[in-house]
Amino acid sequence: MTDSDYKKNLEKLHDLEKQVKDPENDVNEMDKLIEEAQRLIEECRAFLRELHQNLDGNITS
Amino acid sequence: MFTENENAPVSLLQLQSAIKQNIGQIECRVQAEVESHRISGGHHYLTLIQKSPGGVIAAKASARIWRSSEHIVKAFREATGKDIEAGLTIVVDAYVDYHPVYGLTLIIENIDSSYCIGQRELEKQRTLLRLQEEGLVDRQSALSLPFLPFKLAVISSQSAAGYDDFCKHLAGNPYGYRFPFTLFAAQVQGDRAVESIVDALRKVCGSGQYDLAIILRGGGADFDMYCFDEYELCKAIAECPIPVLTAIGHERDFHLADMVAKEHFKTPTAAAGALIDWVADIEEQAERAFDNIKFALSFAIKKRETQLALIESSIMNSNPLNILKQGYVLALDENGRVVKSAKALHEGQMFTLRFADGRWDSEIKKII
Repeated sequence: MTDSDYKKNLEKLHDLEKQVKDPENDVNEMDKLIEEAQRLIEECRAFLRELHQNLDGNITS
Repeated sequence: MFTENENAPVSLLQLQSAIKQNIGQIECRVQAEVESHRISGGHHYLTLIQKSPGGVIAAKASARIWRSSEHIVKAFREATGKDIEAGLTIVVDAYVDYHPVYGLTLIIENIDSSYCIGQRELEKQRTLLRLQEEGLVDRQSALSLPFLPFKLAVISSQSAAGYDDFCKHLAGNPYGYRFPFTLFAAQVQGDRAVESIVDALRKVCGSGQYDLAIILRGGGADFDMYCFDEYELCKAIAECPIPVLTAIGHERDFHLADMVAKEHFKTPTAAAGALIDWVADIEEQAERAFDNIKFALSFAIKKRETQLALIESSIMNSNPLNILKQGYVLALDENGRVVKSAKALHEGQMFTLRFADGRWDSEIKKII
């Protein structure tokens, strides 16, 4: 994942947040939205963990 | 004067003896210029002169330094770095000797070295004035030192103790730094020192491969250092397009070359120490900057983590299905939207009751 991908994920998450909060949306679709949000969040977390590791690795090397 | 009969001739010896007797014992301190000097049988034979302001010889006398007084010549050389030679002005303690055969001679018993040293200081002052007038004293100070001293040219004599001290001190630095430098061998004392160092400086500058030069010379007799007060050397240093550092002699020494250089150090060892400190300081700055960058990056990552956690929390808490897990039921219209009012639907209309574990398709029997 790149920094640009991370930002795109974040944009998608904001969009999902709006959809989840929109009362006009089909509740039956909610599971899919939540599942998608969790997937995007996990991708972002993995990217941030990698950044942490790279930073620590550079300091110790 | 010699006989009762004034017309009777006197012998030459009688005349010479009378002259000698009339001269008597004259001891004095004399300042004169050496016109010529030769050594024969260990004795020094000099011709001393005094010139008029117009340059015409106004007085002239022979002088001797007997072999038994050789030590005064040696002491003079050690104190001033000069040999007795034509053109040198000296102050001597002498007595006048008149010999019937050899005539009048000054017998030199001491040479005042402090006079020559004083002359040297005057000469140094004149050189400094000239350097100042020509704007050469501060020229090097306008140059910037390189970021790191790794393209370094060393001008010294390979056999000089100062050069050895410099190399050993650099090699033994506690950080394990390596200082690649090139030695430009030069004479750092003696008659050819100025020419040799100037030549080395030209080679360094001409190569275009160095961004820093350092002139090294360990301690020694004062007169060994005189070359570092010479105009030509100071001019060459001042006009060098790269910064020139000097480390010449002892703690107490300070020369015009030091004055015109970008920076000067008391000894070659001190110069090596300064180079080591220079690199250590840059390394410390780099480490500090790296720590700052690490902190900033770490902070930026943490900020993103917080931002991500907030979005996650917002999405999860906004999920209407969350309340189903607590035992509540959602009524949904035919489009799956939550029905928020009893009046939103009418009797007989189909709707869905959504549970956490499934749903019922239902019909409104009666609206109360």
